[in-house]
Amino acid sequence: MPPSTPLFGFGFGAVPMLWWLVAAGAPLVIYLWTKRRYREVPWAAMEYLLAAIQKNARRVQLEQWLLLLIRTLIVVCVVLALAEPYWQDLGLKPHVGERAHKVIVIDASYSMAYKPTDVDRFERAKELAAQIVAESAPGDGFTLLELADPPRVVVGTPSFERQDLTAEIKSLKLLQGGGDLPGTIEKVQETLDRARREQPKLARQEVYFLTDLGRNTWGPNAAAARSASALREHLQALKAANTPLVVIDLGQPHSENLAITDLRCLDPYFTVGRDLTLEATVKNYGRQVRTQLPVEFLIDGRRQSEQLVDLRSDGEATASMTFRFDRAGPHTAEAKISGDLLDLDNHRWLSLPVQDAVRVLLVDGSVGEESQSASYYLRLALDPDNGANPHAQIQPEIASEGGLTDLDLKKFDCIYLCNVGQFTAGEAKILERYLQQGGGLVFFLGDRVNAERYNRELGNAPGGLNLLPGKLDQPVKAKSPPYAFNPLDYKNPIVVPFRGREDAGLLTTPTFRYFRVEPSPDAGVQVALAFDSGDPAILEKPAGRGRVVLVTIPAAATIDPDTKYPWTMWPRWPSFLPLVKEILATAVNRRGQEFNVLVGREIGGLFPVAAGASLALTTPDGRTETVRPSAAGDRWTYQDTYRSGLYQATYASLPNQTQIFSVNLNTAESDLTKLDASELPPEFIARSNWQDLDARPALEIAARESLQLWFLYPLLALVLLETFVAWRIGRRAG
Amino acid sequence: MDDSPNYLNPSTLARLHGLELRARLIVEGYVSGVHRSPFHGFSIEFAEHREYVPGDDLRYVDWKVFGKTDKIYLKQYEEETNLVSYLLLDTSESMRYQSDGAPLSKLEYAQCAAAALSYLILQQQDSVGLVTFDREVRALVRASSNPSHLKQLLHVMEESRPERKTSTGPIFHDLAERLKKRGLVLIFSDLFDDVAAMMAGLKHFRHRRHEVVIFHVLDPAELEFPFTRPTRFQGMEQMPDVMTDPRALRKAYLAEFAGFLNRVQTGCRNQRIDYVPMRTDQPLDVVLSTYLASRMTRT
Repeated sequence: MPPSTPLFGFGFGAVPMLWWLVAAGAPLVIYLWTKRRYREVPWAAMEYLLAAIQKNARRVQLEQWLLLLIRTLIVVCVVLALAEPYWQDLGLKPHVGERAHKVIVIDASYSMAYKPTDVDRFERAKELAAQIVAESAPGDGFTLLELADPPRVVVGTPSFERQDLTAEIKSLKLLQGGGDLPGTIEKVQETLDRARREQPKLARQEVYFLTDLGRNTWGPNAAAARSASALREHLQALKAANTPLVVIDLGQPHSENLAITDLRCLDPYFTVGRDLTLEATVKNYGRQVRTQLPVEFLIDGRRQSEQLVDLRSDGEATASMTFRFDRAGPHTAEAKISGDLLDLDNHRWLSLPVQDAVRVLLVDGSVGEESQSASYYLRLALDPDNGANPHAQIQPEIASEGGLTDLDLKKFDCIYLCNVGQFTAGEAKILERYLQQGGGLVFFLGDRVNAERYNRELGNAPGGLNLLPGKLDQPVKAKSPPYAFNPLDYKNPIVVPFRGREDAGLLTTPTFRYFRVEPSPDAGVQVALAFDSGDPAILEKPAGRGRVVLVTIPAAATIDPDTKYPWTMWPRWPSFLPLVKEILATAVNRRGQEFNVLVGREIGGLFPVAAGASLALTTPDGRTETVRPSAAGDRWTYQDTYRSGLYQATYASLPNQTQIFSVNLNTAESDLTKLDASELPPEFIARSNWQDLDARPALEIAARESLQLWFLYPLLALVLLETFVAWRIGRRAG
Repeated sequence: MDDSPNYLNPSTLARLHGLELRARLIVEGYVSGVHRSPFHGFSIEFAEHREYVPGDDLRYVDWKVFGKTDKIYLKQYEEETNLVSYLLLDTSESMRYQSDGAPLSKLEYAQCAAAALSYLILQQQDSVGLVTFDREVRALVRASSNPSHLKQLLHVMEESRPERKTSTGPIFHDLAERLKKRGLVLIFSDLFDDVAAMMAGLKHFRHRRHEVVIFHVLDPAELEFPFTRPTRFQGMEQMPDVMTDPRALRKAYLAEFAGFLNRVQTGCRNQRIDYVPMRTDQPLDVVLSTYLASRMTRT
């Protein structure tokens, strides 16, 4: 027998039993039927009968109705007791005489979009929130927050206007991000503290979380260690303040879900006329095995191909396609699947700012013959046609040291700084800005390099800009034999192509002199390649939006005047060409990443000089917003990326120069694994879950308070009362 | 007699005889001897004294003589008139009532009683007359002591039709005026009427120096109100119908009815009227013989 949906916390375990309430009409029917089945007798002593009636009619009538009422109530009590009545404490118990401040926190993480019935969890949460508002005692105040990342305070000061608040609840939109529980609890505490100050009449505080209890938000490992300790502190503070934290569980155990967790281009840069390989990762977050699941690829909104993948339970698979763009400009790719109950994570987009070619600026710090210059071999490696081929994928341009200040660096995807002796503070600033805009920076050291100036201007010394992945020491030279490269298990992408190709020359590349560099302890610094002495040969680190690669040897045949040996044979060695290309790929790999962000993160860009005062931003839901530049006037930013999809920015005066941003989900939320209520910190009071409201899971029954005794005791009293009243009436009958 | 087996139930009369009523009858005037009558004549005039012998009725002791002489003398009367009895039979509609458990309606029962007493009185060679009434006198049979008179009495009783409302007060006033000769007035009725008016009428009888005996005929249902199911009571004598649950009202009804009986009995006692309750389920002979025995004891 299905249970009822509790109304004001009351419900029945055996709803069909309630049909027996019809039997409550039986005493009345019997009474009326008996009245109709009277007998008729002539009567002589009518005068005395009439007198008796006149004096007792009202009493007799009252007794009869009383008896009827008691018998009806007896039937009602029996039926209600058999219908397994229960009280489901939704935390809505009225506290007479005290006004309450109720903080309603709705989980707005995108797992709440899971739609097991015709209503998704988020809508259900909104319904419950409206119910809490509607059923609370008059005089209670309400605040409204969203459990999101970052958390959102929707109504921060207690509102007493229920209609407005209900409208506010109804207008809430899912934020499509994750959930930051520690941050949300902190906001809750701030809200409570402010309300205590501003609304002291609200003597009681209650907090209601309407959530699916996703493990990725509520689990013990969901928060970073620091956040976790902050969470514990907040919870203890709330407990000390006697504030009940009621968690209303709307999640379902064993929810199946599929998601596209990643869509990427395997190529380091996107150029016209070049085959680009797109790869999508599909993950199965459920127990069911999925076979022949179609993964669709769309380019610029048009369907290009479909690939079928098989997914084990909790497994993942990749699908890929190859595509060649014939036109430079902003392009988009999309991968999508279907067939589960959470649609949001079935799509993923990738913005591909396709260029005609990768432009590389080679800043050459050397002097002398061209073939002896620091950039000679590099230019050859990057563009063997030496500019003869207009369709070349990589177009290098050589500049002297002064070029850094003279040239517009924005048009270059990567800058190679070859044996540049030193940088002024101004130049360092230019480089820093270039990195922040997503450019790639590759340093090749050499005999002209002034380690001290490097460290001072570009290193992490006080006043330095900390662009370098390590601190430069003095050059060291080998005696005999020369140094060889250590590929460090080929872990770094730069040397990955050499794995299994030991005869490709990497291991035999001789080096006689190199700059000793002490890797910086900063996060992200990696040694891609080392010497057999243990010192790094190539280091890299992300900086700004771009990436810095530091090569501790020159890319030229620089001769060491002491030994008359070249610093290294590498520029002429077979390993040179592939390494240079991989270094370029690594350096420009983050190029265009600003166009691909996660939900909730800022998007933005530089205002072109001729762009004018504003740009129009079209959001995935079709709205167009006007965005103005920042105070400095050269950049624009937009933070409200709470919806996944494509955001298109069009400059008012340059309608053809659009930028397309892909905003994707952080798919951590796609794992719908649910936290069991018993695993919650003890400060939380777990209440009914979704099944408690719409279905009846056997295990949950014990959590309810049975009200059978509430009907059995009155039933006993009514039976005794009926006996007494009937006896009284019988006594009158003599 | 053979024509009216209903009224003169042989067993009723046999039981009266079985009590040796006859042996104790004193029929003054015509029948003197060992028998005494429970009914006495009137207009007695003193003749002489005679000395008391054991067994004499102490009623006739002349206490004044005893006071003066210390001798007990009895008063001897010149003449005792013949007893004249009038049977007043209520034939109103309410007398027609007969409950399920009762063998006879109240009227039938009253008729039996009246007939039996008529027979008894005529056997004593006293005169008996009959009046049937409801709101007015329906039949009046002059008193006669002729044994054949019984037949006429029984015939009139038989012909009475209980259809109308009672109005005892005016009737009793009327009869008190019309029954000139002092006598014994035996009233058979359920007395369902205004008690005060009825008592005023009875007072009139007493004022005319009649001796009055009321045989209050009631059905057992009227005394016990034994109904349990919802019942529609159909009113008699122009009373309305009433639909009610009798169980809820039984106690109240019995209280009302007891009040009525109490008023009647008190009124009778105040006017020295013999009150004889009769239930139609009681053996008639038992009631009559009990009453007659008690009356004889008093005399």
